[in-house]
Amino acid sequence: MMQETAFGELHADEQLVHDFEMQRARDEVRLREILDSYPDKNNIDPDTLPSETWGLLAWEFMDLGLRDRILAGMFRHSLARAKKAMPIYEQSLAYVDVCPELFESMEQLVQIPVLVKDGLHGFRQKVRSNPSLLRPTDKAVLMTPYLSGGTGIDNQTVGKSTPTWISERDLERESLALAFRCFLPGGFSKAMKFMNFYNLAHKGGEEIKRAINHLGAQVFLPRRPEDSVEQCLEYMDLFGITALAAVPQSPRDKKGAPKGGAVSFDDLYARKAELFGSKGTVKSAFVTGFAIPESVINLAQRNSLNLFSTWGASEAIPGATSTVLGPPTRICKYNNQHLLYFPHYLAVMDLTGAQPRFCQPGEEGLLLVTTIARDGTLFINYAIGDRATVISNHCECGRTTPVIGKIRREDNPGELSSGGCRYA
Amino acid sequence: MQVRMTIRITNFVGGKFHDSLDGAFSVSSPFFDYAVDVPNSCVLDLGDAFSVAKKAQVACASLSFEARREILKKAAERFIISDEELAHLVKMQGMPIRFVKQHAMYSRELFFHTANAAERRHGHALGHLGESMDVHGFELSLPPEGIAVAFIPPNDPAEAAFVLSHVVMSGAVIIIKPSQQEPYMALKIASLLTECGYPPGGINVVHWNTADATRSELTHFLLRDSKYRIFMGDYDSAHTMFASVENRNAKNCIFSAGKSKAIVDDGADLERTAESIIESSLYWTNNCVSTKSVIVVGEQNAKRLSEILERKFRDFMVGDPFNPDTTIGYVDEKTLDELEQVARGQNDFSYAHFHHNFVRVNKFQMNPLLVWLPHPDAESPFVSHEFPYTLAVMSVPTFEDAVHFVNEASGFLLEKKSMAVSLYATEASFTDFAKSNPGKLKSIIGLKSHLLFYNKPSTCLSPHLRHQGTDLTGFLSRPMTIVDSKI
Repeated sequence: MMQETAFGELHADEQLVHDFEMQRARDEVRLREILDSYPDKNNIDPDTLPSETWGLLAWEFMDLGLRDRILAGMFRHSLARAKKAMPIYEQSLAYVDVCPELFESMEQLVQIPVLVKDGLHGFRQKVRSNPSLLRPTDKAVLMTPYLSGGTGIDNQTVGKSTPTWISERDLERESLALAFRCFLPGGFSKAMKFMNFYNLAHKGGEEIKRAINHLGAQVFLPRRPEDSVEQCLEYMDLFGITALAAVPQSPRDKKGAPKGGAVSFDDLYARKAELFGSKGTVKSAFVTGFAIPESVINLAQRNSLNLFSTWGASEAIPGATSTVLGPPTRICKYNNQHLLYFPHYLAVMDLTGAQPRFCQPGEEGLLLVTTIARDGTLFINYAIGDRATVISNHCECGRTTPVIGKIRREDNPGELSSGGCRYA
Repeated sequence: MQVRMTIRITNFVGGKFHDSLDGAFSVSSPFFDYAVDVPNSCVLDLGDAFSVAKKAQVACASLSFEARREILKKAAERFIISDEELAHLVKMQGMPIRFVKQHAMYSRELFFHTANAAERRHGHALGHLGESMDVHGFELSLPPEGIAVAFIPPNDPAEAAFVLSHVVMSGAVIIIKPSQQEPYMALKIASLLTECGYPPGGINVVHWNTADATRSELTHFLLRDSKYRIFMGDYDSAHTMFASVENRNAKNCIFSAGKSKAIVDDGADLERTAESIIESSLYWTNNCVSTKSVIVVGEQNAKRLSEILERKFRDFMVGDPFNPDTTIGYVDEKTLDELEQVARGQNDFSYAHFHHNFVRVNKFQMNPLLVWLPHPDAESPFVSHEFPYTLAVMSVPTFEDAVHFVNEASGFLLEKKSMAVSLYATEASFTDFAKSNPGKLKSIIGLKSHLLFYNKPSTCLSPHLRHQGTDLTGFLSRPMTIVDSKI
């Protein structure tokens, strides 16, 4: 580890590594302090934890067994609360036999019903007529119903968004996790001047803004919806932007022209490539989507651009992340992302057999989202509609969570709405 | 022992060979069991190309005239074409090897020629920043400010050298999209000129698969952000492309001489005229820039010329393009099918007369076809299309009728002009012709053509043709470049 005395003379990249290592060391101490303040760390009600807990890097580097017991302990509370305060589970016949008190390991998730949005047992239609089905009844706080992306698979699902109810504290929890467990390992720094191309009216956009604030960046420049690509580039130049967050490509109409007014990484780079990488001011890019396109990865490698991605959805942010900092031999780069536990738990499960099971390295399955800590909507074993492959359970970066990759949208409605036990 | 392939198609951006950021695609020869991998560039690759091109502008425009000429001279000295490269070109183009070699070597001549032509017209003043190589005719007028883009067709190995030698002499910067059917020569010339001293980033080559729907935005992108848009080849494609992307700041330049016409005046030396027309129409490539229809003043002259042409057609040799004696190349099946359909249909309706029947020798080859049109007709497919190895001859009563017909049939370019018209007449030089024939000169003044070749054929870039123009704008009422072999 770098010495503090050498701080001022470090190369920029070394400085990032130094900051990250220092943060990680501090977080280990802090997490130990927090956990030690509980008489039984295997039975913590996540509602009682300070928000900063969710931004601690130490979670990823923790001993697997210890983390599993802590997670299971927290989840017992969330599951019990879900059964009691979430109408969608309260009214579910499938949940009658679910006993939270028997839950001791996250491996028992395979015994919990799978929540699906579409198909015979899906909640979409019910929730669209009664959005409160997804709102817990035990929290008398202001909540924002953030709508899902509406990226469905047929005319019954496309554009028919459902809400995730989110409180101010939920935003804080998720944005802290995004800041210190995704952005910091992704090479974002305090010194950066950041431009955000995500819509601030979306949950992701809002949380990116908060995360950048948590990092203490110098500039947060939002792209206004009316700003053209050319104007954005002008502002990037004017404010000396060094890092940005954007989708890789704009959605296109049939003629290949961008539609919907989005400004993507491609749009920006195509018009002013000299702003990026080793020759330009923009050194870091946070590009999300189901996968960073190979072209953007190749570009980052060719031009020394720090590039990483984080899996997230309005239902759960962050779920997994790739890194920029770490040993060159690590596998958690670009589209290979470490699962992040707390405040959510992502699992890759095979639902095609008689019983659901966790996928092993090399196997592909559905991504299931489980909420560990949230005032608002608690998703439990929710098949959000994405598929992923477990790449490895080991990574040279030292994180002890599985690495997943090849994340893509599930395009088979049957796969999502059938298999295993499910919400009914 | 396996022969190692040295033909490798990459992008050429910022003076470096790059694979595309987004993979490659395979291009197969329509005629041989042969394929090459070609980068399938994405918008990010184009972003890189524009970025380095912008950066290179000052360095390119700042080169002195001598430095530019020196680059072309050096390129001419270093230009060689290997057997493997020739084989690649023959396989991709189907053109007989004797013409492939000849045209490839024109590249070398063009490097010399362009530098010399520039000096003759502009002297060393061309070296000043902000001036362009502004020449009427088929030489390019390239501004040193802004980025030029060019689309290069597959059927002529010399076209990249033609465009890029002008780029060098103009101190311009350019991004070239070669045809995917023959993507190699542009890459070769671009890298050669850069190696010879043109600033890296001044000449860039990017490839992509135009049949790939995910790449549909790239042409749009290239055309939208450029200042000068050059399209070499088929006019309809160029028009569709340029019309699809509005760019009021850009100048469009279409080099589409595939439907060129010849006017044969009464008294022209028919034997020599026939040789020149053949050189223009059939010694070129298999389906492009050449004379396609001949308008002869006087029916007897027309018939006589047809007989001479028919006789000379017999000398053409169909066969393996790799045979050095072969003079008729391979044509893709689809084009041959179309021609066969038209030719047989015309026969059925006695609309056109053929000196001999259409003969398809094999899957890819035909005997050259001479068509006699009893009545000049701009709508005839033999006038309006660019069929390979096909020449249409027709007669008109007067010289004025010939000019009228050419104008009627030439409204296809942006300015409703022909790219070039060849005029064959008796006089030794155009000046003599103009002085001796004031009535015909009056007709020529009304001729809608960018170029008028006098007693020498074609837009052929043969080094033997002296295509420096005599600007007679003071003599004629409209700008037109007269290319007179006697000057």
